[in-house]
Amino acid sequence: MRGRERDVAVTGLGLVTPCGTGTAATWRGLCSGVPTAVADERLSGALVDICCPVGEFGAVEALGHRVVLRTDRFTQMALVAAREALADAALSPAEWDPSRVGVVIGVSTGSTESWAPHFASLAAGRPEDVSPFLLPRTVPNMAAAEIAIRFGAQGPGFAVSTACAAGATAIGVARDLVRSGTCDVVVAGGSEAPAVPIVATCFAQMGALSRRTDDPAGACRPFAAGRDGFVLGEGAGMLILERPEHATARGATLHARLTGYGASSDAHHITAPHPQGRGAEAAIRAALADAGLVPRDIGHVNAHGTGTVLNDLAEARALRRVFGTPPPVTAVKSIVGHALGGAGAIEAACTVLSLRHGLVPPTANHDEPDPDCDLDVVTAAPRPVRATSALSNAFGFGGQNAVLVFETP
Amino acid sequence: MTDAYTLLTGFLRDRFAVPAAELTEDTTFTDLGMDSLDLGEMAVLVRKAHGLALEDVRAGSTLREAADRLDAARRAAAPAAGPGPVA
Repeated sequence: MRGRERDVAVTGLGLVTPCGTGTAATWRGLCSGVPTAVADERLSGALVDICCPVGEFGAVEALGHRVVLRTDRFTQMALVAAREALADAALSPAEWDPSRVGVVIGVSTGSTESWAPHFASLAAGRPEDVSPFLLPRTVPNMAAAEIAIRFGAQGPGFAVSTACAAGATAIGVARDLVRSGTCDVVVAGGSEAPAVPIVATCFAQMGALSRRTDDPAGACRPFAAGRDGFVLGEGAGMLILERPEHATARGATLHARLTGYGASSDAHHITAPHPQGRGAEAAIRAALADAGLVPRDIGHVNAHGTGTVLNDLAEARALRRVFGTPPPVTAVKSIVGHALGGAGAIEAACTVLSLRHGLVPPTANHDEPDPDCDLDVVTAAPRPVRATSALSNAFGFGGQNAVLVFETP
Repeated sequence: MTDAYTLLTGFLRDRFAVPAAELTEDTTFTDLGMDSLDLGEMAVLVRKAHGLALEDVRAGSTLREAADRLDAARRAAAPAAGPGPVA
């Protein structure tokens, strides 16, 4: 049994996604149902050259030229999203107890973009050309560190890495920091900037990327027949998690409550999910139990839904076993692509927005459902769904799974 | 004002976004909020662009002192056929 004192308040959201900079632009883009995938010249020379790119996101204006110079793109997007989330929460670093503010950021491949020219320097016999900023630019914990430095967060700060589940794992781990009483506030989320040829080529060689390069917008087809892989995305999602008493005392607006977090490992294969989705099912059941809910309480599932043959089938099987007839499902990767370590956090924010607006954005390209998936996938237009609780799934290579349960305030 | 000073302040303006008004011969790198990492980065940039080794410059050095170091590097490099003038 569970009391509400174990809940954690979500008081701020921040997003940098291929739909635009900011929560409002992202929500508009998701509800439009229009995929953002295009051929991207940054991927020139890669086996697959399409992705969902984040356009100009105002890094210099928001962060200053000096910070942009010393940081990788994944850190810049994390900083811009964190700035929005803190403003949305109306939290002023001047007024908080810095020792009780934490930062937990999920990262998958990290900053591959920064390494390439420096490997070239070494290969050319010019080690002295390697920048002293290279290591601080690229270590995976630097998004969390730069957020802490910029906003004066002196509590626990670290990165978590569970591949494509990292953004959700970060939010779950951050939740525990609040629930345990260690922190009043945690900036939690994920960020990734993987649109570089080596990453696209690696995923393509594994058979994970869609090869529909002549039709980028139609490439990512979650839960649909004929799906052939995911489309790379990029971006950052940030949530402000707060002790409810702390939020109430300062008169903050609650977007939602984070009431459940479940994590599991498939312990099965380095990249393929368990074919029956056993690990995913375990994480979903753990998240429900943590929230003190039963399956029929859940009104919406924001799926991991990558558009790979194996993920979508395993996820659908897990959902059917848990729910029997699962509630309405959407897969926003069909619109924003797969931002790897950022994805779980971007989708967690989308799940919160769905609860707030009573609206589930559509899954693109679901014109021919895969009968083996057999889910109620929201398509074509946003669907009004009056849910009081919703699930956000995130599953990573290595079989590492993280599931979050959000409820209306 | 030497060529080396002009080169140095050019890097500071263009690559480190230092406003021109903050650049005087007596300004130290510390005054500009720069630390040893920034100086290391500037040394890499100078070396890549001009083949010159900018050494023994510290955060407390003035821009004049740094320009003098750069001139010394240029003189050391001059007998070789390699890099041309600094500016």
